[in-house]
Amino acid sequence: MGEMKAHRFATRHSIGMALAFCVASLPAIPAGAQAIGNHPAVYDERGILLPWTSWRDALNREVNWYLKCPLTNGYPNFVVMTFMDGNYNPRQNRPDFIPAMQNGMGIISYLKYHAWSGRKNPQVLAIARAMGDFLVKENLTPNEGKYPRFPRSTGMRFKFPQPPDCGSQADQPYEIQPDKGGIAGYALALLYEETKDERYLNQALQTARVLVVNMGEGTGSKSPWPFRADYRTGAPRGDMGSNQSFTLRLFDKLVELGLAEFKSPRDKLWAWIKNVQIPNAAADGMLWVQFFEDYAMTTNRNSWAPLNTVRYLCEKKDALDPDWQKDARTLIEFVNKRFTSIHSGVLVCGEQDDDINPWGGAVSTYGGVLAVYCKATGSDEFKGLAWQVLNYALYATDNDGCPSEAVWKGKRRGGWQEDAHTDKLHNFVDAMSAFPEWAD
Amino acid sequence: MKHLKFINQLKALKILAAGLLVLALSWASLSTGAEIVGNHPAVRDERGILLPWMPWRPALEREVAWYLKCPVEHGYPRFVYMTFMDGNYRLIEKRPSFIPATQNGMGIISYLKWHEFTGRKDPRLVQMARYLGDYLVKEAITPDTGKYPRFSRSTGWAGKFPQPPDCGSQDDKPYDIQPDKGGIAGYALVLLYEETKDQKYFDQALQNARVLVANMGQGTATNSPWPFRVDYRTGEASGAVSGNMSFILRLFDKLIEHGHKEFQAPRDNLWAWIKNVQIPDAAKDGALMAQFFEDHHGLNNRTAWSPLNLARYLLEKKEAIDPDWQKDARTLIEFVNRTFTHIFSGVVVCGEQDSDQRPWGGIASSYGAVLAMFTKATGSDEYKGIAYQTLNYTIYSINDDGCPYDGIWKGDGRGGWQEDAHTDKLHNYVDAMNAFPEWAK
Repeated sequence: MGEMKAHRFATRHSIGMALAFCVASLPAIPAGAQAIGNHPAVYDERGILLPWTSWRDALNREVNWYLKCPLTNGYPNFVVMTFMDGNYNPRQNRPDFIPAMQNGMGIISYLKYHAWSGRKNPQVLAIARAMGDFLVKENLTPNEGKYPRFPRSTGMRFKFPQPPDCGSQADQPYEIQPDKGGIAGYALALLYEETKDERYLNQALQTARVLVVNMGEGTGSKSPWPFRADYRTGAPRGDMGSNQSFTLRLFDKLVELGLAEFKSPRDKLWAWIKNVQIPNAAADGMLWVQFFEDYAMTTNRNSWAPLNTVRYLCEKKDALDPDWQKDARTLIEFVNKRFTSIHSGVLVCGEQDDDINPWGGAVSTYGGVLAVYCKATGSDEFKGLAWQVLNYALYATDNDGCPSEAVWKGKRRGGWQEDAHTDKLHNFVDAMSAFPEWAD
Repeated sequence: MKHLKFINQLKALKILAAGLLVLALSWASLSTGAEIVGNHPAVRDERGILLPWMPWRPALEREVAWYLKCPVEHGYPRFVYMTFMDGNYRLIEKRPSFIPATQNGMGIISYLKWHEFTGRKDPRLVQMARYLGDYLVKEAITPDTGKYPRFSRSTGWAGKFPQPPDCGSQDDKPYDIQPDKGGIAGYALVLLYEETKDQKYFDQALQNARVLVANMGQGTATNSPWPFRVDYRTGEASGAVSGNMSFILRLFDKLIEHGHKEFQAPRDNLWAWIKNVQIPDAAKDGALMAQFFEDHHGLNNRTAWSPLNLARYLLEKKEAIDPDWQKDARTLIEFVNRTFTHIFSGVVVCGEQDSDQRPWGGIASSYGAVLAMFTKATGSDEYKGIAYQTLNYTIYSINDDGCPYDGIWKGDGRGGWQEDAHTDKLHNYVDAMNAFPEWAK
């Protein structure tokens, strides 16, 4: 036994030495005084920004940091709050919480990372389950009204379950955001596929059925669902919810699982996305407004929704859209035109008209989607941009693995957890799946 | 024998072809997909970073060689007396308008820098600069009357020797001149005098400078010391703001360096306005960077050209001009970054102005060069990668035979605006290659 342990130690030690060598050899390339996020900037001889350590190492550190996250009520702390600091503690001034998006994208992140890292570490899957459990057990509307047992878009940290009037940020107390149900539902369907735990599928199904019941007609000025609705009465607020690709993913996944009842609403939804929403991106983009939970501005376009639509087009290709390449490019060009800027000498992507700062989620989504697009189309046009912007985003991760929400804020730990981690990790996995050589 | 010779030639050709293939493959091992940038298939490294289609220096050598073959008529190579020239050295008939001061002024700077960069070996390069200077001195000045006598013309018409008194074209009225263009031409002519010791260049520079001083006003928060346009006869102004003040400053500085102390006071006044009013304004809305291009008259039309060329001067002079040169240069660059940059062919590029955000050759190369100089001068690598990539992009304008195109964003093509294709581009590459010699190879 002792010999085995010694051998394992030796192997890990060797890997550690090798990693240390790699890390040490990277900054041998000129590293000036400039700092980016949590690290001194590392450039190659041409001035191209390199990662501060290899992506694989940085992400491994980050995931390990989260695997050590203390539990509250059976859940890792970051599952039950949005604003967490670098010591796993809540930020006192921000008790508000965005459970559906944060944990939905978190499930996707952990499932993707689990598959990418060889399905070796059951702790990674356990995190996905913890997020799913929170969504299923603690985060639903009451079983009444127009949106019964529907995922909450916002709430308050450390509430088990979230109370009926938990709406926070720019939500009213009884409001939900239909599109966030799409994110949570799709993520839960994936979690069901991985675990075969019926609870996740049942909640995904419930969410999808509620969405179908409340589906309206998409037009040139409104999406099939409003951005917000009072779950009791259905009273809408905001005609446009730009993120429709996750509701489409949810319907598609359920159809794939044999639930043909979603075929017709799925086709209607896709027809609106394809014929109305995507063409609008080549015009004023006003059908790409409203996504973020802390905003209620009705003309506030964002990059998240179009980029995530591109991701789905690039995953499904002709099976979804005979014009997938053209449509994906239309959406990327919309984002390039409206949300990109230069930070630390790198072209980055901001969130929305009202905040074009490159928060971790938006900036990694941009890089992840450009990489997926390059791989899918075979065009290298955006490949260099993708690689550089993801190198930039990686500077958020501190030496011990704790990430910050935003590289542009400088040296920092923690913050919005979806920007710091849950809506970031999957983007790196997508990019490394597209170009495995970028990992090392 | 003929047959044997043919076989030997065939073998030699095969070896040569194999060699070329190896070279080509190693250069672009490196992906060359179907993507086209300007006149060539895109070449990218394994990370997707755009590389030049061929190394900069030989590409630029081809370009200069192409211009050295330009037919000479009326005593000047054609591109010296027309702005819109096609890929066969011919006037583009539907575009007879001409911008002599910018085109030839920046051309003189380009050829003098290229001459220096290439080891001062080829006298034809100085001769080319002289052609450009001679045209400015002999053919492109106002009559010796009015408020701006014997002053460099901002616009005119192709193939006029000399330009007639009412030659104003593009967005100039027939008798308009642009004071800042006199600064460009004047500064270039002093440099040409320094190179050749030919007094006529210096005399014209001095004349421009004296006329500028005579017409200098007080710069304020809403106007520059000179208007953008003026009727040279009456001095009637149009356009309160002229963004490009750095070349008048260069001209005054250069003349002071030559012992003309009369320019010290106006120089100090001008610099005080640039330093205390214009540069701080770039950190806000940049309204004092409006108006530069000859074919525009939008009063609020900010440009990237003026702040970048001002940054270039700060980077050349450093503390000798401005104790805050790094901060001020950065302010100007950040103004350009947030106002004029875009993505073309997956590369960060710079557009010209509010009303035309496309990366024409002059502005795209100005951006790359100034970022390269900032990097070299400050020791910060922050903008180095953008500089390298954007200049790689711009080099795709050059055709295999050396003939360049004015705007890569238009796809493949030859010729066009000569300052975008060549005269306001070449010097930018020289600046960047001086900053980072390894980029030339």
